[in-house]
Amino acid sequence: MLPSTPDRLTVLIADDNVSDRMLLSAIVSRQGHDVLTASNGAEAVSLFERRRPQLVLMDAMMPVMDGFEAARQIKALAGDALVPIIFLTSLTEGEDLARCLDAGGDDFVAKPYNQLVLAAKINAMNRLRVLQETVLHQRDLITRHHKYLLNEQRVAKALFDQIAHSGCLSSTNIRYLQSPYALFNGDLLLAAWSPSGNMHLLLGDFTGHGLPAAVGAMPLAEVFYGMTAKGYGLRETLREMNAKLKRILPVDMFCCAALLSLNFKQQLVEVWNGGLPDGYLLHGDGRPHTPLISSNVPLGVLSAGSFDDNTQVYPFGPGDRVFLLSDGVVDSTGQDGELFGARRLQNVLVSNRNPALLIEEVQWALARFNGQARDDVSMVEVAFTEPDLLGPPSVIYTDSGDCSPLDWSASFEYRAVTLKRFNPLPYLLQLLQEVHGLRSQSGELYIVLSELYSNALEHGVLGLDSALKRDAEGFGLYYQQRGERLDTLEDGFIRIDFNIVPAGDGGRLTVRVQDSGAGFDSDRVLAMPPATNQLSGRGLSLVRQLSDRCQWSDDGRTASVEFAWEGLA
Amino acid sequence: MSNNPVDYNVLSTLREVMETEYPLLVEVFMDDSVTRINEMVQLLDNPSFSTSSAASLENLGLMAHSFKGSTGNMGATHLSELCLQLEEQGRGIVATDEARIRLLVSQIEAEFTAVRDIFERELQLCHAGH
Repeated sequence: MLPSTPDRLTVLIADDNVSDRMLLSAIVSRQGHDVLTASNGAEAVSLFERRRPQLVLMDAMMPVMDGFEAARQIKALAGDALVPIIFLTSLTEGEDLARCLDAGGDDFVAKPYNQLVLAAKINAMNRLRVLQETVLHQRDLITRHHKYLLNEQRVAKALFDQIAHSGCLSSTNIRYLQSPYALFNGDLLLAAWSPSGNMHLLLGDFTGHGLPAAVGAMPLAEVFYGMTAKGYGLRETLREMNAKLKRILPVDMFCCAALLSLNFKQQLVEVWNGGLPDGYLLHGDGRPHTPLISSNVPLGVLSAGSFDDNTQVYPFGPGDRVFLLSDGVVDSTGQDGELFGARRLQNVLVSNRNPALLIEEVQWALARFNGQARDDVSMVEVAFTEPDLLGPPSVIYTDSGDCSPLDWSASFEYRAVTLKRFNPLPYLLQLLQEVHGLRSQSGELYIVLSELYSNALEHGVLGLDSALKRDAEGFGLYYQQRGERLDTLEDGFIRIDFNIVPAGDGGRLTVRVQDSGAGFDSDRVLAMPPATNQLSGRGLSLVRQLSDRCQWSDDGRTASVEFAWEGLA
Repeated sequence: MSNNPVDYNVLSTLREVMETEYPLLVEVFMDDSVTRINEMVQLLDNPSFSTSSAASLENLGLMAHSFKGSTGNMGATHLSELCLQLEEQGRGIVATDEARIRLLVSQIEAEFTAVRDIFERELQLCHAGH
């Protein structure tokens, strides 16, 4: 509704003096307004209630109810709307004029009436009245818009909570701090299990605030959960997230993010940081913490061709933790404008004794620093946990199993150019999922397949020496060499054969993985005692543990494993 | 102050503003004035009237105030001035003096007679004009 700005007002005239009332009515009517008349204050109030005039001309001295009381009652009835009251008075005493104002009067007009003065005052008061009406209208409009916006945010948050809660943020090894409306600060925290039992975790910080910052979170979460569930690694997931955000976000919007893949079985953590403040790898054995520095451009900035998906890999064992944070922490300013900064944060990390209190200690330090608690910072701490070999809860399938293929074989060969950039495992696992009997072992199957594949790639095709991974320094060197050799790879292949045969009510899968490398002495590696096996040969013992049978060809270039299953109930 | 009981400039403005209702305004004013003057006289004639009674004085002050307003609007400048003096007595703005009050009321009665003569001529002129 637009404010009404009629030239024609309804004016209430209250005067006990009949000739004055007649005269004033005639003057006001001649100015083009409609007139209501009352001969005392009580009549005026009652007329006001029934007819809602826009302006009141009020005599002060009247029988029954005087003008002061009538003015008070009319102002109360008018509420937020401005109903100007002009007192008609021949009062000359200052004290009397003050009483008019105290009662809510807006102006005076003296007797005897002057037509011109009266018209000017009515017009001036009407301008104020219209202004107030406009202000009220805009206030109501703003209130409506605000409610609308809050409702939109509520819906968006409910929608997003549905997506985010399918993750595993509630795992016992994750602690985090996030405002319930972090999404509208552009902050995003996601965690999910991969089929092989790795935990993937993302902390993101979109540019901007409000709904625009929140909308990018939806596609990002979809890619993160979708690709993690299908078994894709960090690098494929990163490339896809970057490409998607680059495609859909406006140029001035992007997402600073850190992504982790925590491999509890092999005790590794893989890290990518693009634009977030340094995260920290906190060591359980008392070594100084390792900063996880941003060495990449945030997601959604670079085109697919120039995006760098290189990750860092670190040993990650019992007692170790990774701590990530949004820029709200180090960018907090104190009262003198100084930044909280990385040094103050590191002091908190160093002096922390009880890991369970780390996030609270950072909060306290921030509160001490700038004198108030902040609710727009996100922090997450994820700790090493003993792997549960069963992995995440198995997926529930809805098909009957009647169509399950039970007697077939397939061969795949991946050559150098493909090995550089393609991860065939999600597709291969998907294929094997068609066999009903294998579904209950999909976690184990995935771990074994990815172990054999990475052995074939790293030790076979790339010829890397697993002995390098004995200590933390060699560990870094190992992954550096892996990247370099993969980049320059020109020859080589990995062949994967599946053979599925029925056996009784169940069946048996044989997987053969062959590579173009020099081969290795499997007996020697498998015979190594667990102590020397700390960071390296863990993979092979896992394979032995999880499959029904496993063996290597004499030249060490072909691994063969079997999975069997009984008839389904 | 003009010697005329009624300011003719005001009268011409009133004629212009009121148009056809001008005679009605004049009649209403005269009837109302007679009532008010009678009320004032009765108030003073009442044995209970006393200048030491706050209620009596306030009542008188309000009557004078109201009559001051309407006489002022009708251009009866001198009559309005007398009302103001009476109002000041009633409201205690000047030192209360009963003799002065009684004098003012009789002056108001006399002045109104002069004013009424003028307005009655006005009415005759109006009726003649139609």
